[in-house]
Amino acid sequence: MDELFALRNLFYTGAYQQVINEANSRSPLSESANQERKVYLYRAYIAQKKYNIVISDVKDSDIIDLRVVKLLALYLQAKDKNDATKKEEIVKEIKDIVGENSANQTVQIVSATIMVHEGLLEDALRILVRNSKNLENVALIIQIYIQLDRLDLAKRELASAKTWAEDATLAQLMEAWVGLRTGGDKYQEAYYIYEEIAQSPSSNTVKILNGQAIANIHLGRYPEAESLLLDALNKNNDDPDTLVNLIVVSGFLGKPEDVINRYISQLKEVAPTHMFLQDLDLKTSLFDRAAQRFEIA
Amino acid sequence: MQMLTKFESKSNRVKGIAFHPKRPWILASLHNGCIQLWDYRMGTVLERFDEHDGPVRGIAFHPTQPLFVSGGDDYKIKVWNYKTRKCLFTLNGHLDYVRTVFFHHEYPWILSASDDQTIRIWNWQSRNCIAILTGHNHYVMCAQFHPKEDLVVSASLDQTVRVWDISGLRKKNAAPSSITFEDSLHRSAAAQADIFGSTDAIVKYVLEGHERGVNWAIFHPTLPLIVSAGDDRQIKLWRMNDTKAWEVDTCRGHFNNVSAALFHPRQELIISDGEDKTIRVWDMSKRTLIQTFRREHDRFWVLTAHPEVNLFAAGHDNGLIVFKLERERPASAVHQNSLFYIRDKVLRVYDFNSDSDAAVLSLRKIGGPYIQPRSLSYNPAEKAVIVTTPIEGGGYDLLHLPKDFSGEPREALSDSKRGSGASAIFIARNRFAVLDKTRQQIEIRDLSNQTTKTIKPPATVNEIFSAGSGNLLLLSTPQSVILYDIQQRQTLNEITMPFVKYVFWSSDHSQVALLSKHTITIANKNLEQNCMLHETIRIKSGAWDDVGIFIYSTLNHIKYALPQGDSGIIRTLDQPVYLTKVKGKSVYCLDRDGKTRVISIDPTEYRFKIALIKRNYDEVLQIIRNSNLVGQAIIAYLQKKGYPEIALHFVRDDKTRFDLALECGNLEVALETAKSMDREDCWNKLSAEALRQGNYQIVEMAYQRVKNFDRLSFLYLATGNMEKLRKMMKIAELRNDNMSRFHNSLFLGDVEERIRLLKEFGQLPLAYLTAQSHGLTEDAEAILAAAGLTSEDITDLPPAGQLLKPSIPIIRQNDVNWPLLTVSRSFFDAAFTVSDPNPLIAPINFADGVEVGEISGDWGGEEDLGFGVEPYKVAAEARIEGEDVEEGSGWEIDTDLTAQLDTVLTQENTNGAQGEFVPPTAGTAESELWMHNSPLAADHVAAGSFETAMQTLSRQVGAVNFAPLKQHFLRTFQSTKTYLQVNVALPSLAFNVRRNPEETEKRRLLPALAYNFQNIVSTQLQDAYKTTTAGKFQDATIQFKSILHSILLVAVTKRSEIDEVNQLIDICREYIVGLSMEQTRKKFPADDPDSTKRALELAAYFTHSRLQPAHLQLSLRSAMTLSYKAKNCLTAPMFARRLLELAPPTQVATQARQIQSLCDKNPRDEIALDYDQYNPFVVCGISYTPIYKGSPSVQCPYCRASYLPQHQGSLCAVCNVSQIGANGTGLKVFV
Repeated sequence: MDELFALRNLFYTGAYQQVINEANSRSPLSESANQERKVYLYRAYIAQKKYNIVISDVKDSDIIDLRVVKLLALYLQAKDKNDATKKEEIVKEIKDIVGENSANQTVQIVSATIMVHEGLLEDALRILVRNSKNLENVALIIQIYIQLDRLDLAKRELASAKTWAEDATLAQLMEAWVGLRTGGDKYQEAYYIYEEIAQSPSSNTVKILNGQAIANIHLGRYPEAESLLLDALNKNNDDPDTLVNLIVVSGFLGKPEDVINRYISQLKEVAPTHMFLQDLDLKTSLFDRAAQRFEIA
Repeated sequence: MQMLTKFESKSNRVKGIAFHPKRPWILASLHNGCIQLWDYRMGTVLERFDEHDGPVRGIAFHPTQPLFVSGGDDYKIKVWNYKTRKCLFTLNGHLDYVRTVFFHHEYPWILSASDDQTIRIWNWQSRNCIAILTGHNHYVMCAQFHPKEDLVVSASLDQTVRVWDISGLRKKNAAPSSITFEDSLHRSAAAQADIFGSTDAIVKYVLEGHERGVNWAIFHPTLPLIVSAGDDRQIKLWRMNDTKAWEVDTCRGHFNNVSAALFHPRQELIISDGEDKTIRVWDMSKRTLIQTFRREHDRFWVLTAHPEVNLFAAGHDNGLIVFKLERERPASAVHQNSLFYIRDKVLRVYDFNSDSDAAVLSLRKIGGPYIQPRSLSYNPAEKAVIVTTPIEGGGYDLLHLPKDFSGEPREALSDSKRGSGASAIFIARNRFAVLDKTRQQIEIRDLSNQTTKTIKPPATVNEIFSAGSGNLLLLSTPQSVILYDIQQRQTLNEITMPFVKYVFWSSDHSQVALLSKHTITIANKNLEQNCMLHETIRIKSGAWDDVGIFIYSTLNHIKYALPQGDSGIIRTLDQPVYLTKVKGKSVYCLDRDGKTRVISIDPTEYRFKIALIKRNYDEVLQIIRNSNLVGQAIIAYLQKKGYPEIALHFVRDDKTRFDLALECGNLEVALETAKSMDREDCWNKLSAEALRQGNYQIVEMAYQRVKNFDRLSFLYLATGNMEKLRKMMKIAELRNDNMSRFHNSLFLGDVEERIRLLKEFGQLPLAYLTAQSHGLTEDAEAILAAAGLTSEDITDLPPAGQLLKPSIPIIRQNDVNWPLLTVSRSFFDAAFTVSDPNPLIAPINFADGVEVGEISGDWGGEEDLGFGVEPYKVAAEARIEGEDVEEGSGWEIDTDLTAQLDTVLTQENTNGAQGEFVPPTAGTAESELWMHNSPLAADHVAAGSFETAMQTLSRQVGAVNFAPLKQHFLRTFQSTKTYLQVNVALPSLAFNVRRNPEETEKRRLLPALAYNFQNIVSTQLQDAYKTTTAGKFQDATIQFKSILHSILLVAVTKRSEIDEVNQLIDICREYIVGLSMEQTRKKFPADDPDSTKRALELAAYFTHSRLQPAHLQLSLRSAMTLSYKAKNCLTAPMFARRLLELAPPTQVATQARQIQSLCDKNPRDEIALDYDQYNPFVVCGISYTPIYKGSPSVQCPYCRASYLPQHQGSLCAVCNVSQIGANGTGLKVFV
C-alpha cells in the first residue's frame, strides 16, 4: 500500500495547498515516506512560487533530496530575477550533483527540470531515461518529447508506461497531454479524463480546470471553456495559463479588443516571461519589420 | 431460471388455492376444513371461512362478482360472498367428495368434479344442477372449463382424460329472447333426460395414455392443447383438432405422483408440482425439464396461475407459496434525457423530451431462451452498454450501440465481449467493474474486456453499484453498503442497512438513495447518511426529482422522501411500476410489460415541504397562496415541524388558530380568537402567554374577562398601579369579599383600612395588634376601650416585628406596556399581514426592450441581408482552382522521412544499452504543418509566419499597407495555442488549436482562426448597421473598415460561403464610400453658397450607395430635403419618388408627397449638379466624383472600390490596405 498515494495525486493534479496542509498534518508515516513527503511539501511551495520558504527551511545537513529541491528554488528565483551568473552557478552545481547521485530520483527530476529551463532538452532526457520506470520521469520525458514535436515518441513512451502504471492519475494526465496534441477523438478523451478527475472535489484545481477548458477549446466549445476558465480565475486570479487560455478563448468568442488587452496586461503583470508573451513580442516586431517591406515608397 | 418467492404461509395442508383476479388475495382451502383468505402482499390472513365439515379440496373465485365457491369432503358445494363474509347457499347433489370447483368465465355456472364419478354443472343463480356429466368410471379428480370454447376437460383415476362438448348446454341456457311454448316444454323434457346422460354434454374425446390415475388436466389458454398429470409420475401433453385428439409427448422426471400441471400463461412452459416435493418447469416445445425447485419436507398438492398477473401459487403440506418465475423489472438505465431499457429482448431508447421510442439493438442471443436480461449499464462516451443476465450465476455482455438509433433494430454483433459476473457496471468511459460473487472479487476491465485490476472486497459483496466517480464503487453487502476506493483499495465509508438492491443517484450526483426491500437510506456522495426510512410494503424503485426530492414506488404507491426523512404518499398504483425519471408533474416509469408510461402527480405537497425545509419561504408563500393545500394533515405536519406560524394561515377554526397562535407567540391573533371564543380556559392560557411576554395589558384584559380578582390585584401591585388597586378594593367591598379587601389593603399599605376591616369583622385582637405595631396608639386604645380591656390585660405581646410595606415599583407606567419579550416575527407574519397584491408573487413587468437608436423603430429593423448564391460563383471557383498549385510543396515528405528515421534510430538506441541513449532530434512543429497545408494568408498568420502571410496578401489583393492589419494579425496569432503547465516547476506546454478538431492526418491539419465569418456577419456587421442607424457615421466607418480587415483573415468551411464573403466585402465598400461622402458633406459650412452645390452632389451620390433599405431611406430623405431647401425642384421630387418606392413611414411619405406637389409647380433646378441619375455610375473613392459607366477607371484589387485613373498606384482609401490598380489574384478564403 502506497502511503503517499493521496498526496501524490494531490500534487499531480495541482492541489498544492492541500499537499502542504497534508504534509504538515504529521500523520504518522514510515521514515522513508516521511522524507518523501517533505520533498513533496517543498516542491508544492515551489509550485506556488514561494521560493523563500524552501530556501530558508532546507539546511545543508538535510538529505540530498531536499537540498536539490532547494537548488531548484534558488534556480527559479534567479531565473525570475534574470540573474544569469547565479543561474550558471546553480547549473554547474546541479551537474556535479547528478554526477554523484545519478540514481536518486529527486535529483533526476530536479536536474532535468533545470535542464529544460536552460533549454538543454537532450541533457534532460539523458538524465531521465536512467529510470524510465518512474512515472514522474516518464511525465517529464513526455513533456520534452512534446516540446520537441516528437509526438510519435511521446505516444510510444505513454503506451509503455500504461502497461505498468495501470490507471494512475498521472498516467491518465499524460494520456490527456498527448491527446491534446494528437487531436481527433483524443480531444474528447482528454476532456473526459479531466472531467473525471475534476469530479473529486479535492482535484478540482486550477490546473485541472485549465485542462478541461483547453480540451473544450480544442473541441470548439468556446463558451463552455470560458466558463471553466473563469472558474479557474476565481480560484487563482493570477495563474498565467488561465489568463493565456482566456485570451485565446476570448479571441474565438469575438470579445472586444479591450477585454483581451486587459487579460494581456494582467498576464504581463504576473508572468512577464511567459512564452505566450515572448511569442507575442517577437511577432509584433516581426510584423513591423515585415510590413515595412511592402510599403509604397 | 429462478423462483422468486413472493409470499409463504404456514397452515394446515393446503388442498386448493385460488387467486383473486384483481386484488392481492389468495384463497387457500385446507385439509382441516377451513378456508383462509390471505393478502399475499401484506402477508396477513384477512378472513377465515369455517363451515365445511372435513377437507376442502375445491376453491375458486368468481371472475367479476364478489363470490367464491368451495367444495369439500362433506359432498357440499358452497357459494360464498366475501364482502358479507357469508355462505350464500349450499349446492347439494354430489354423493361423494367434491374434488374441484370452478366458475364459468361467462355464464352463471359452476363446474364440479367428484369422487362419485360424475362431473356436474350448476347454475348458481337458479341454484340448481343443470347437467351431470357421467362416463368416468372412477373418481373424477379434476374438471375445468375451456377458457373460451364450450369444452370441459376432466381427469380421473380411471386413467383417462376426457374432453366434453357442452355447446348443447350453452345453447339451451343462452336465454333466447323469444321462447315458444313448445320450445320450453321440449327443453324441460330434455333437462329431465340429462340426469340419465343426455345430449347437453357429450364426451368428445377420451384420451388414454396415462398408466395410472390422472390427477389434473387443463386446457392451454390459447392453443388447442391439454396438459395432464397423473400418479404414473408423468405429465402428458395432448393436442386436439375439430375431429380428434392425440397424445403429443410425455414429460418424465417427477419421481412421485404429480398433483397438478399447467401452462405458463405467457411463455412456452409447463409447470407442474407433485408429491415428490418438487415444482418443475418444462419446455413446452422440447418437452424437456428446465428447472426443478425442491422443497425439503412438503409434498405439493395443488398449483394455480394468476389469471392476470405473472404469479403462481402452489399448496403443500404446511401451507402455500406464491411465486413468480421471472423478474418483471425491465432492465433499464437513464442517461440525461434518454431511457435505455430492454423489452422482449430488444434494447430500446426512449426520449423523455420528445416522448419518442426506438428499438435499437436486438438482444436475442443474450442469455438463455427463458432468461431475461437483469440489468443495464450505459456508457454515453462510447455508446456502449453492459447487459447482465442471471444465467449460471450471472454473466454480462458488453455491446456497442449503433451510431444512430433510427431504423430497424440491429442484431447485436456476434463479437460482443462477454464474461461471467453477478453484476457489471461502467465506472468510467473506458472501464467497467465486474463482481464475481463466488470468488468474491471485483475485476476492473477495459473495453477490450481485459482485466486491468483485481480487487478483493473488504466484505462479502452481493452487488456493486456506481458511485459517481471512476475510482469509487458502492458495494452492497448483506448488512451494509460500502463506499470503496478501488485505486487506494480502501473503504471510505460504510452505512449499516439491510441488503441494498438498488441505488439511485441524484442528477447532480450529490445525493444517493439506497433501496433495500423495506428500507430507504438517503446519503450524500461521501456516503454520509442523511436519513433512513422504513416501509412495510416492498419498495420497488425510485428517481430523483429536479429539486432534490427522492420519489419512490412501492408495490402500490408512489411516495416521496425528503432529505431529513419525512415521507408521504403521492398517489396509489394499481400495478407496480419502475420509476425512471421525475420531471415536474410527470413521473416516467416502466411497467411490468416493459412499456414506458407517464404518470402525472401533484408535487405541491412535497414541494411545499421541501421549500419549508430549505427555508425557501418565498416559494412556501407562493404555494400557500396559489394552491389548495389544506387539511389536517398539513396543519399537523407544520405544527409538528415547528412552523405554527405558517399553519396559522391554513386554519379558520378559532380553537386551532388560538392554539397555534399561542404556540408561535402571536398574541394579536390569540387575543382576537380568544375574544371571539370568550372561554375561560382560553383567557387563562392567553394571560399566561401574555405574562410570559410581558404584555401586561393583555394579561389585565384576560384577568378582567375571567374575573380573576386576586391575580388582577397582584398584577396591579406588581405594576405599581395604585389607582386600580384602590378600585379593586372597592370592587371587593361591593362583592363582599372581605379576604380580598384585606389583601388589597395590604397591597396598598393602607394600615387604617386594615384596622377598620379587622374591627368590622370582629377580629379585635388582630385589629389591636395591627394598630399597636404600626404605632397607631390612639386607634389601639380605642379598640381596647371598645373591648372593655386595658393595656394591662394584654400580655405576651410578640416582640416588635418589622414594618410590612409593599415595595414600590420603580417604573410606574400605567398605560404603557412593559418592554416586551421579543417574539421572532417570521417571514410569514410579515408576508401574510401585507394585504394583497403581494409584491413577492406579483409578476414583475420588465419595461419593454429598448429599441436601439431612436429612429430604428421607424426606419425598420435590420432586415435579412439575403445572401444568395449569385451567378458569378462559377468564376470564383475557377479562380480558386487556378491559383494554388504553387503551394503544393514537395519537401514535407522530407520531414516525415527524418521523423521516421529518428524513430528507427531511437528505437535501436533504447533497445541497446541504456547508457547509449541518443536524444532524438526535434520534429516538425504543428505551425509549420499549417503553413504547408494551407495557401490562406490567415493560416500563415496563425502559424506565426507573418512574412509569408503578407506576401500572400500582396499577391492576392495587392496589399501594401499592413499597419491597420496589425491587431488583426496578432489577434489571430494569439488564439492559436493554449497553454498548460503539465509538470510542476516546468514551463507550460503549448497546444495548437485546430479548426478541424476531428482531423488527425498531418497533411490536413489547419489552425483555428479567431475571425469567424459567420460571427462577423451576425455580430460585427449588425453592430455596424446599428451604429449607422444611430447616425454615428465616423464610428460606423471604422467598424466597416474593421470588418474589411477581418475578412482578410477568415477561412470559410463551405464553398458556397465564398460568394457571401465577396458580398460582405461589397457591402462594406458601399457603406464606407457612402458614409465618407456623408461625413465630408457635413463638414461644409451650412450656409456657404459655394459649397451648397458640392453638398447637394454628395447627398445625391450617397443615395446611390447600395445600402440597406432603411439606410437608403435616410439618405434619400436628407437628399430630398436638401434639394428642396436649395430650391432644386427638379431633383427633389426624384428623391421623393424614390423614397416613396421604399414604402417609408406615413409621416415621411406625407412629407415626400408634399414636396412632390410643391415642386411640380416649378420643376426647375436652382443649382445645376454634376449628377445624372439615369446614367449608372460609381463614385470615386477619393475624389467622390461620379465615374459614369464606360468612363475610364481603376480599381482596388481587394475591395473593388473604383477610382479615377489619376489615382492609380495610391493607397485605397476604402480598405486602406491595397494599392489602387495593383494586380491581385483575388482573396482566398477556402482551402
